[in-house]
Amino acid sequence: MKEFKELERKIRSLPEPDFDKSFPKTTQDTIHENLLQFARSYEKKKKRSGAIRRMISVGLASVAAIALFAILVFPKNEDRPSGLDSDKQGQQIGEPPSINHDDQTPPNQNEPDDKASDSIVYKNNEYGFTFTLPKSWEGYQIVSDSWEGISTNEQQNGSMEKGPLLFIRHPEWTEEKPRQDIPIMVFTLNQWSSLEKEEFHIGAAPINPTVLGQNNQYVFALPARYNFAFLEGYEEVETILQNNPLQTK
Amino acid sequence: MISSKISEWFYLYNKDIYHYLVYYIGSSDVEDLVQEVFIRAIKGFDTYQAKSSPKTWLFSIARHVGIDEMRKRKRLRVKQMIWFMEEQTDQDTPDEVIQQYEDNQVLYEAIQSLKANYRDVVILRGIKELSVSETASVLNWNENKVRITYHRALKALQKRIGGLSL
Repeated sequence: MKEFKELERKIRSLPEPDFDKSFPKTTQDTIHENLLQFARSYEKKKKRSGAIRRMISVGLASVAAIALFAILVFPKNEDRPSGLDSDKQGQQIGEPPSINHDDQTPPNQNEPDDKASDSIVYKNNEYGFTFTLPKSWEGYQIVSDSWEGISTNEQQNGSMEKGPLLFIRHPEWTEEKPRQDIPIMVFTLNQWSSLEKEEFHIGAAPINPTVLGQNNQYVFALPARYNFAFLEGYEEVETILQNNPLQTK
Repeated sequence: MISSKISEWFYLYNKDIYHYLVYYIGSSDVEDLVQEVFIRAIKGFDTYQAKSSPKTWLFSIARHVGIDEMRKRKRLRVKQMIWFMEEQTDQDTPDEVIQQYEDNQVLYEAIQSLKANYRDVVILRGIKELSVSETASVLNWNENKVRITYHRALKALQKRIGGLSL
């Protein structure tokens, strides 16, 4: 690298910022204080949601135990539908806190790629889009949630916009070891137009969601800083998103 | 405890992160981004698991914060300032100093015009003087890729600067 020694020297001699002027101790202390406050409230929130999740798990375990007891003790009930073994790919499986799969029924089946290649396709008929995933995502789940936006118009007094937020979840996601989901926000055309005009904002991030695709009814977008937690698989998700996976009808 | 660790890391590395973001974004107005880096660190703390040094982990978060910010600025068409030109002052500044500012501007613009992975490695290896293994950890590359890319980046930079004698 001797040929570039002089160039490297010049790069290294590019000036450092004047910290006393542009990043003084008072600013650092303010940021530090903000971080401590945030850390406290974040830990509280985590403990609360952990407790709720534990309660729900206990509740579910109890229900499962009762159901098993009923199956074993009482005569066979032929009519009981068995939903537990129809965990096919592409069917939406809502998590208990956000079960909303009434609108995600069999039409949204996974389409195995007919070219026997290394990709699969998630098809959503309700909103009219498909999403191409690597074959390693076979067995993915669809988790429903919603996004909320707050009006920036003072006269509207903090009124809310709402819409669906779908997560494509990797088959190896577990609660103990969560993996990076692929979030898809669904906006009506009017909502998207309002967002672009900054009539409302979503979350605290100063960046709008990124458009993934659009049809004549909806805009599909990726939330800002969706991968801020750097969960396992975030880089794979970045790669998936770079290949324009979302196509609309 | 997250708070105590983040507190410790903040005072150890905040100036490094600030310095890095100033060069990445091209503006000295990055205090909120420094805060964002540490907020993301708090949120992602459980996944950190000491797989890398806190310094390289924070730098990798800073890089993502920088990428987001650049996308936003590109969307809003915010003109990129050359921050150290803000420090240029009055008529009494000696010619040599003005020349140095201009040389720095040329070099900085050349760095900013490199493609993304070249720019990343030049800022980390060249400006921040991270080691090969630290840079590899930040960029999630292997060390060989860091060396090769850095070499190619310097070659591309040399070509862009051209015959200018800085």
